[in-house]
Amino acid sequence: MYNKKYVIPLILIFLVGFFTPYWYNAMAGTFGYVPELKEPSGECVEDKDWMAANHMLLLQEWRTQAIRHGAEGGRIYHSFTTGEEYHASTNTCWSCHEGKEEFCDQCHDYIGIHPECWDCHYTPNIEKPHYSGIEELSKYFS
Amino acid sequence: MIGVIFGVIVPYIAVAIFVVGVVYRIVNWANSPVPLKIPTTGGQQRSLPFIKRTVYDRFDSPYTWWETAGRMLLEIFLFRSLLKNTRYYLDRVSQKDARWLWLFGILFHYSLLLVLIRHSRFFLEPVPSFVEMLSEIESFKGVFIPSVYISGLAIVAALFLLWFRRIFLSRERTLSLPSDHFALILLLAITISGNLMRYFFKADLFAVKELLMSLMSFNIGHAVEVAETIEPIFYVHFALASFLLAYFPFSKLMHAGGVLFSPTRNMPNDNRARRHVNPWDPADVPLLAKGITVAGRTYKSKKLDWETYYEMYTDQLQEIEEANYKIVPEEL
Amino acid sequence: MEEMPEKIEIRQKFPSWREMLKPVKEFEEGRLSYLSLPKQVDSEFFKMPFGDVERDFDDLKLPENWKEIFLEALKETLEKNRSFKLFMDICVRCGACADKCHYYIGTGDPKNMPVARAELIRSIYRRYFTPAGKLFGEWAGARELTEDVLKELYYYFNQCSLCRRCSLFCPYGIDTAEIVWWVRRILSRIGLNQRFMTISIEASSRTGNHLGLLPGGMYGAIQQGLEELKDYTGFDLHTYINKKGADVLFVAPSADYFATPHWYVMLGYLLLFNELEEKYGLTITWSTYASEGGNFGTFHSYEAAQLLNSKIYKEAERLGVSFIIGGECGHMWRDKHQFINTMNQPPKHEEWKKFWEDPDLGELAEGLRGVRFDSYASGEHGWIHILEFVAALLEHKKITVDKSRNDKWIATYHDPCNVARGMGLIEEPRYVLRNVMNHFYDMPEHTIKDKTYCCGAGGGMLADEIMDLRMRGVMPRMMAVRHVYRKYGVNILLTPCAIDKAQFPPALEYWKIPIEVGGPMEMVGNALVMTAFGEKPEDRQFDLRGEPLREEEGEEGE
Repeated sequence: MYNKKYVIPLILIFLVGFFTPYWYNAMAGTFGYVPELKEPSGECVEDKDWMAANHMLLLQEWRTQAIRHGAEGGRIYHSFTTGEEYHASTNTCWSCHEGKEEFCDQCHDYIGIHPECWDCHYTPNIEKPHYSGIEELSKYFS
Repeated sequence: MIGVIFGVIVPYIAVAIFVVGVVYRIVNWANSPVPLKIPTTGGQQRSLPFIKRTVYDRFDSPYTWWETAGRMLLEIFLFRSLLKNTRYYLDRVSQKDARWLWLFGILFHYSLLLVLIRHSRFFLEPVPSFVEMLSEIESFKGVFIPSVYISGLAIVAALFLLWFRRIFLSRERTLSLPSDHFALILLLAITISGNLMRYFFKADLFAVKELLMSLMSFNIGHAVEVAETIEPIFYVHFALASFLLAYFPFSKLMHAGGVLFSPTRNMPNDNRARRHVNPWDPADVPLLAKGITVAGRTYKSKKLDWETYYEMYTDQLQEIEEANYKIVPEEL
Repeated sequence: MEEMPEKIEIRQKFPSWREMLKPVKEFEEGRLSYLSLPKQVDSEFFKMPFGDVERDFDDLKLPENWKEIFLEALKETLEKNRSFKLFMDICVRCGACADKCHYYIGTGDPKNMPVARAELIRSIYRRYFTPAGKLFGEWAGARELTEDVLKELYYYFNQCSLCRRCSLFCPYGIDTAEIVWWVRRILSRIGLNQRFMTISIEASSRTGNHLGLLPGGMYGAIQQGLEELKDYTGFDLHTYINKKGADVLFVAPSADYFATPHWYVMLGYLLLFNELEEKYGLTITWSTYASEGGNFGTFHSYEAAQLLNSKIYKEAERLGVSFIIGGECGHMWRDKHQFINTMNQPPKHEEWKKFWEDPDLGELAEGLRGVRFDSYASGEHGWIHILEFVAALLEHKKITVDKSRNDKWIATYHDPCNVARGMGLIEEPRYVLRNVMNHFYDMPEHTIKDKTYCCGAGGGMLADEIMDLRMRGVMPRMMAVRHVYRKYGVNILLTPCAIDKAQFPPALEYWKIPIEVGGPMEMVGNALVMTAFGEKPEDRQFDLRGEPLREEEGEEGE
């Protein structure tokens, strides 16, 4: 083999680069790590495995129901799995799941995504801002 | 069953072929020597001190190690040779700069890089913050749920553009072999299935990462268990990607490694300062004078050294000697 | 030159990929070079395998086991040369090179695209050396080696002038010249050589130069040059040949001894050498043994190139010179810049070693102190281009020039491909030309410097039987010349390349551009004031063509 001076480092760089997950995970001590998920109490609105993949589609549908049909009493969701009726609202979720950190973040952090849902939406972990109506405003503008 | 085959067996085989194949190809290239120092000089050589060299000349006609390294880096990261591209217009018998190929190439390769970096989230634990940040930066938020990754769409667009070149431009159509179309179609299939999976046909990504982490730690029992639960759309994407890995070392896609070996780019233009040694030629006696053997017969050319030459043309050379090696105009 | 094509029609064809894999059966008249005769390739001094048979293109008379020999040679090439192996593997067929080739532009023949040219051999490589090709055959772009394919290889690999323009634009630096060079070597192993280049190789291996000039002939030619110079300048000039103990060995392409317009360049050299000797005492000698700077072996094979260029360092050693100056030639400088010191051991004699320890011309001639070449050259190589040499002399004000003597010329400069892309000599000639003449205009940017177009006759393509190809190949260059001819009224095309100087006069005539061809050294010779001989700037009456310097006639050329 010629040009060993360059070729061997090149091969090493390739191998080290390709096997990054090995040394990275080993260094972080997370080799083969899979987080344990805390099962919430109660039945989910749909099948657990289906929810794992498709919960965003469900939430999207609920959002549409809430925005478009909410006033007409359209916020009723018929479960495909159980056939029962649910209120199409995140409050339905929060009634079993304890909170964002205990549940949502477990998976989301594991695969490193940050859905922007909670930029606006309420979760049980956050203390709701206290809003006391028009008097509140007058504090700032009087 | 699909899960076991495409989720466990195929990826192991594909990765093995990829790693062994790439190393084999690199070693295979390195096993051939470079007989001559043949850089393509695209600019002014290093020369007399008063001959100015611009910074372009330094990279296009490198003299030092650093300049050569710079040329290689620019070649690899900016595709500088393609950036020089022109197009000849026969009807106008002139040429114009034509940088479309460069644009499509850059678009594809950098999108691919971003996509690969984003995919590292499925292999690394914890996910590095720069990977998360990169995804944050390149995503279009609020237009769709989930947010739209630019690189994911750009790579499909770039692949289509590159493919359209091969289909609609007559010269490129003539040049393209089935393997060229195949590589593009394969990449298109992978990227389109990936996009579909992200935006429409959902798969359980937690399980995907669980599968990959188990595969990496050879926890095969668990991998098989998880593999069976993942949605089929994932296996479309995953099996194609595995196939790409296995196909990579034996196809033109190896240009990724080959570009580093190209003797016309990775050698400095310093022939006159430093001698290049050809490993298979000691350069003492011309090889033809030693004789070349073809099909068992040796063909030996007579060497014209000075003694032979003097013998052959003694009279004329002696006349020159008598003139004291000096030529003057003949007296008329 | 009687075989000039009457009319050129560029018919572009775009066959399908399957069509491209099939060997062509029809070979265009005027593009197919003749095969070598036994007297060229079975000569005592240049013996090629199976060279003893007289071949005809219709009946190749191949050796019985030609296929094995061919594949064996291909395998050997892959093992001996990384660039060849790499270039077989990594092409992605992006098409960036396609319209960069002057032969493709000129002929429209799809197989003249550099990538398609390389595919001709790549398809055979795939069939016999890669698993995909063995398995999928045609669908992997592979094809069998047959006699028809062989003919096609010969036909197309002798339609490349090794100018490397495609290599410049290739994103991986795939150098078609490299592929062509090594395929020609493989073809020569089964007895297929191109006649034109082997005529010169054989002559050079026997006499020391391509023209087959014997020592007396060369002596006489230079002597005639000195006589002409006496007529033009009135000075008694002299020069040395085969002189031991001279300071410098000068090596020019042999065309300079005879051909026109090379001849004027030759006169330019002689004036410069006399001025330097008379003024500073720098002695420069010619050599009859190393009388050829060019190297047609570089068109043929590694071995042939080595056979021809091995003489020069030996001669330098025998004469005891300190360094070597090379004349105006294109491929010569690819050979002399990139090949010669790898193919041969550089000289190791005392004078050489001593000079290169501190390469200041002052060590050889006190008056020239300050002129140095160590910023880019060393004793491991030892060659200086004549234009670099002149540029250094001009910069250090060692020679006096009178620009106005060249006022009747409006010049443009053609970069020879090998000098531009195999060496990087781009600004030196322009520096010299701007210093010796007032009217100098470059051609459009896309056609000069590193992107220069080939003259269409390099790489062994100067043969008369392929005149059609030559006139087509030169078309892009001629269009650029026509542009400056119309825009600036250019009346001379200067080029430091012997093959260019042979190709351009018929090409300019064919493309109806009424301008002259010359070399930069002719302009230097015109402008050079022979101060050592007591010449004043206004003294010179004739230029090196023997025409009056200051009359306005002949402005438009002939």
